[in-house]
Amino acid sequence: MQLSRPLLSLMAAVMLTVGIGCKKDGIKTTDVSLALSSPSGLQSASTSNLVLTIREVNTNTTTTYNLSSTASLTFTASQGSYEVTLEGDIKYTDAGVEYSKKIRGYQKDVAIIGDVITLSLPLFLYDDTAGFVFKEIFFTGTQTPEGKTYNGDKYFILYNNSDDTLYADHLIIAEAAFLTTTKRAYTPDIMAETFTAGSIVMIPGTGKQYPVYPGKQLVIANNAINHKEVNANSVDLSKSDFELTLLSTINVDNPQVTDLVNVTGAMTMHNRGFKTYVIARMPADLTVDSYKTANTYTYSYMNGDKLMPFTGYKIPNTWIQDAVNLSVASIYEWNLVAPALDMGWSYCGKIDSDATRFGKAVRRKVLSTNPDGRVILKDNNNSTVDFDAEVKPSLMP
Amino acid sequence: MIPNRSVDAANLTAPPQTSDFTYTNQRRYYSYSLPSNGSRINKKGIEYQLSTKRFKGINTRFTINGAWFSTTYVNSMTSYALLSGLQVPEEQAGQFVATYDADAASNYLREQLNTNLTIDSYLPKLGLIISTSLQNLWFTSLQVPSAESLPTSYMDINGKVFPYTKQSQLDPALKLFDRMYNYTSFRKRTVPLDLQVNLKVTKEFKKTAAISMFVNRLLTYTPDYTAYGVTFTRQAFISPYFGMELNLKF
Repeated sequence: MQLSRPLLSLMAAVMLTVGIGCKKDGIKTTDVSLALSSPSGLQSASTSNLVLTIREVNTNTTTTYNLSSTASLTFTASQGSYEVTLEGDIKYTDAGVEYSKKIRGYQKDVAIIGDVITLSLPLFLYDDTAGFVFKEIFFTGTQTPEGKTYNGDKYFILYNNSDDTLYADHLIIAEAAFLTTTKRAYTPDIMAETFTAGSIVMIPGTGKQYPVYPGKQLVIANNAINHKEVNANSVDLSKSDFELTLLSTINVDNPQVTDLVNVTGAMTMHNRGFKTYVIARMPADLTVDSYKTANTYTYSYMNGDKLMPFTGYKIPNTWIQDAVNLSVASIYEWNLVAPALDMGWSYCGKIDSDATRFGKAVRRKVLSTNPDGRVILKDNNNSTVDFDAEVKPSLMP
Repeated sequence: MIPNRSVDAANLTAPPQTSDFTYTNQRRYYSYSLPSNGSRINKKGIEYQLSTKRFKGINTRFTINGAWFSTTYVNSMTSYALLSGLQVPEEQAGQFVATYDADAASNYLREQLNTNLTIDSYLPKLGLIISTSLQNLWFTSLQVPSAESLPTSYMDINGKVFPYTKQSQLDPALKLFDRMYNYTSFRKRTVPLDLQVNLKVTKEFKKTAAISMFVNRLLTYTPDYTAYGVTFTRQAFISPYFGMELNLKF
């Protein structure tokens, strides 16, 4: 139970006691004490601009109270069955940075009855811009107990960080064309508006085929098989929601698990973690072919006195829901997305080819847990603070 | 691929047979390399050597030799290319064969000019031979002659051949056959002066044994140079090489 946690430590108790006892027109009224509790897990939280709306469901009578002026509020509720909604602002600090977000509180079927009642209203973070995020990226893979290279057990976990059901249909995951460890002065430099992808995979679907409920996740495996059968260091990915089609030499198809569509050549997740990954949504009216026709472009950079031209794929930043830069501290040079999408980077391994990186992943931190148990993950568009680096993959026993 | 609907995997009691699966026929091209006679190498050059007598008094002889070479490599064979699963989705790999005229980008013209000067002094009283050589590479150059980036035609999976046109360049798959040569691909690249000095001291023992100590690259001179706006530095990792030699005669 969320309410039993010590989240009440930061309880903003707004006492709305109204000293009206008489019922001059015969309608019974109740004095209400409102007890608000801040979202769990937040530090130095303070709320402001709270607006309480109560609706009597039988008469559909709505009353609104501005709780920022608590002193002047006189609140006498007619007895009845209510739906209670609260909206407001919250400030909290995380790693020394102050953030301002929206909060809400909501309860329905609240019986306001008797002379005096106390109404407890837990508040939760609310972000109408939230969408899919990378919860976890396991890009390093594993080695066998004999220390040999092992392919196919990498994975992504996508997470619905919003409070709406979202559809995974036509979501694309793209890997950067460049490396975070080699800065290129490329032309045209379109990073402010678009992400330059080297490989792209897409979740198939009709548009509403793959619902993901709030707080739920999708596991997208490289090969969706039980890798533990052949490699004791690996993971069982046979229950994954989706799988990639890898290069034919290392691909194993599980016919029970839906494949993503390869928009480009096969994606081979960089196991030293020099790349950037984005989640974006392909517009519903675009086919893979029409996307590629419109978004294949040539960029080039000088390498010494040689002009190096390449073909890449553009993904407009406006399509992108989440981005994570990955790099290695000793050789990091630059980020591969606009800073508005991700101004930091996460990692597994501290030097190039760090042998200790295998079997480790990056995972997004938990920001808060809502009263209904839904976990909200941290998404400040800064992977340095949003992610835990070098963690044990959550699917690894 | 798409979830299997041919076999009820959850209730399998024995390995499924291939005949249990629904399938579609797909075809693709594969390629392999075939050695053939299509390349030509033209070499021309001048070699020279000048040796002086051993001058009395200093007991020293000077030897100068060197050469100028010019090598032209030309390949006249038609070449072909396929798209791989790294470039396009696997099901689209090997669906086309692009045909290029003689791949001029593998052609090159290489030139170099070098001069070596050897000074050897014989000190009979000490039984010592001191030999100093200066090896100087005046320049090396390499140039790829202009070549065409685009194929002339392509063949589809049914063996039908189409000319490769401007329209082809708009197709996301066919576009990848563009080898994207550019003006920097065909520039002459010249590396200037590369000088090194080697020293060898040999001590003879009654004409039956000789012991030598040598230092290669005792001195080097490889100045930084600028080509097409880029400065190249060459000497970062050059270090002298020390060695010894023992010769015995029986």
